[in-house]
Amino acid sequence: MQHFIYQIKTLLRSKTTIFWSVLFPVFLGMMFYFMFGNIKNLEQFSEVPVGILTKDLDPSKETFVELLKEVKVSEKKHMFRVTEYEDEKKAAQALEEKKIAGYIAVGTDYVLTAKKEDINSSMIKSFIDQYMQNEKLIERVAKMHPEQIQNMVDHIFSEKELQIKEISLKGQDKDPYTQYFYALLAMTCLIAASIGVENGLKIQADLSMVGSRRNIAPMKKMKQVMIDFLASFFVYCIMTAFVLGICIFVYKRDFGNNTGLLLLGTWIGSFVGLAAGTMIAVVCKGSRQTKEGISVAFFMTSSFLGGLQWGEITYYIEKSCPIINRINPATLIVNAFKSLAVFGDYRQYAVNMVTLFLIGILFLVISISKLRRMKYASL
Amino acid sequence: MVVEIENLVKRYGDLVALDHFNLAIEQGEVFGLLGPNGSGKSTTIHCLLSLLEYDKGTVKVFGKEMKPSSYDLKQDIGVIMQNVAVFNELAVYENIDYFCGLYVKDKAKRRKLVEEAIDFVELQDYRKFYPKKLSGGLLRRLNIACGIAHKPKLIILDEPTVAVDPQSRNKILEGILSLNRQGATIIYTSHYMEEVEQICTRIAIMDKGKNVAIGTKDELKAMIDLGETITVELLELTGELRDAVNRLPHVIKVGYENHLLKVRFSKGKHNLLRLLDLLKDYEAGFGSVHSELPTLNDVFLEITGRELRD
Repeated sequence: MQHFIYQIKTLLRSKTTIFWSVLFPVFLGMMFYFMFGNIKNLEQFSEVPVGILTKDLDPSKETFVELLKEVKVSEKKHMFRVTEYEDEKKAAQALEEKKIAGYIAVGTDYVLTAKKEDINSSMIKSFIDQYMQNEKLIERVAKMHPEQIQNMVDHIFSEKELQIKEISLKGQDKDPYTQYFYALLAMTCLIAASIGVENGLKIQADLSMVGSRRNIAPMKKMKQVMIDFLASFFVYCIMTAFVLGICIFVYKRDFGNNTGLLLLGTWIGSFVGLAAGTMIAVVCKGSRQTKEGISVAFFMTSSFLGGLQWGEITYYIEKSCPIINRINPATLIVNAFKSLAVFGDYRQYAVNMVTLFLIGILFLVISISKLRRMKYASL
Repeated sequence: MVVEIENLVKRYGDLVALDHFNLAIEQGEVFGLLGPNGSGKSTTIHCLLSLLEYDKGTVKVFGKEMKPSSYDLKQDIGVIMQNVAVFNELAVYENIDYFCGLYVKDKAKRRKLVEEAIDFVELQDYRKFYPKKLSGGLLRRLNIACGIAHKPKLIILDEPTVAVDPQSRNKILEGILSLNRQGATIIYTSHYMEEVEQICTRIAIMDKGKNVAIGTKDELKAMIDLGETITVELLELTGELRDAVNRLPHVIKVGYENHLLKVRFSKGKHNLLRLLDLLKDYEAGFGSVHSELPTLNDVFLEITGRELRD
């Protein structure tokens, strides 16, 4: 118990640990709060006025026009207010007079003309991009299961960063930017890797003087490793709970009724972060600085691939290399949280959490197998 | 025997760090391992503690083979490493308590031991200080306290006075002798011959991974021809005078630098008298004169042909 308490004291007194584990995520969350705070209110949302040139429109493109008219942000509110123009000059004039945010010319491609890049033109562009990427699928569903078309479009749009609302199928998510906070929580979990690295360094005689001293003590090395790990995990659970609390109470994120499961998810994520850090410390060759650098690269890369800086990235990864989304810890955490909030899908949450836990166990087993060595070739 | 090392070989690639090294240390000794940097002192200690893999040989502590899992043996060993090994986030008391806790489970007993260790290294006024707030000397004393708080029977100190001010160094050396008086066997490694001479009852001189000489300091000095070195402050040394000095009985070597004449004599009587008479005969103006008995550095020089601090 004495070692457990001292490990906790060591962590809580480490300015580096506090900065990376608490202050950095809180600061990043604050940035998200100010960035997204002014565009989150659905009640203030008004339909985006958009023009479409319908002269000589190919019948095969009618589905696009239909969807443009039908896509909704809520049961009662459409995303776009569509005006059809036979003449491009009239559309251009309407654009000039700010009656529309942009107009779309439908040919082989879908070409948007807008006067400036703002949230409205971005939304139109986003819709076009998304439609183009799923055009064949949408057309097939429109023909075979027209009743499913709205659900499918909603689903596709739930992946988009520039939409105003992720269409909730069963969940309670009211804010598309919440996914950035999920990614923030994922990053907070994985920052535990820096603590794992420190733990790994402080138990190896060839990497630290404290490690030498601990190796010549009559307490089994594995016992020391486990005490360090459990104490670090305990501290980190409190830290992630604190960051989650800040997101809920200070940044006013509505995570619905899933706070308990989110907390559990962050704890499993922290376990993975700690195990990954320990593995980096014992497996990777190099100096302390190298190992610390690798741990930072690990959690930053994982978080980036999980959508921290660019929410759409998971979508593109899913298209090009889906295996990354299946094994990247940050993506697993983000998708687990999204599956709860957007789809109310507990099964997907459970699958992701189990996968995450198994990854953590794998990291830990590799670390322990390396740490079991009792003698060193050089000190 | 407290420590028995036989035929120990440790290689780092092509470099032989320990070359069939042998050592036997008895209970109650303050045993010095003396040698220049890179001679194999720390490697010996690390092999002794079963931290390092070695290629050949046996290491026994308290009569039993020393293995990484020899927890019963480790219980009675205390180590003070060359570099300070403490947690920067824990205060003085906490650090000592932490490391003592690796050996002693009983809380009340541990508290008593920690207090004794703090008194021993005289850190009473610093118990709540964090390591970063301590001076180099105080930090070394904390390092020592962390290594000896559990009252080990064998204490290994690996160059504990490196980069320590003279006052702290004296305190550390006095402390080591005090621990020895309390019953602990001490192994002390250093490249400071004065320290080793001052506290060690027996000394092994190491060079290139070998034990080149072993014995008490007097035994070691008796191994060499050198009897004394006489230094005379001299304004000028003419060629004629130099030849005359060289012809004196028992002279091994004559040197002159910065107006100091240094004459090394083998064992013999009246060397100083003869030298001064000669200087008077040649009417050489001389100032201060002093005679030095051989040091361990002289022993090392004669055995290896190099200075200890080369």
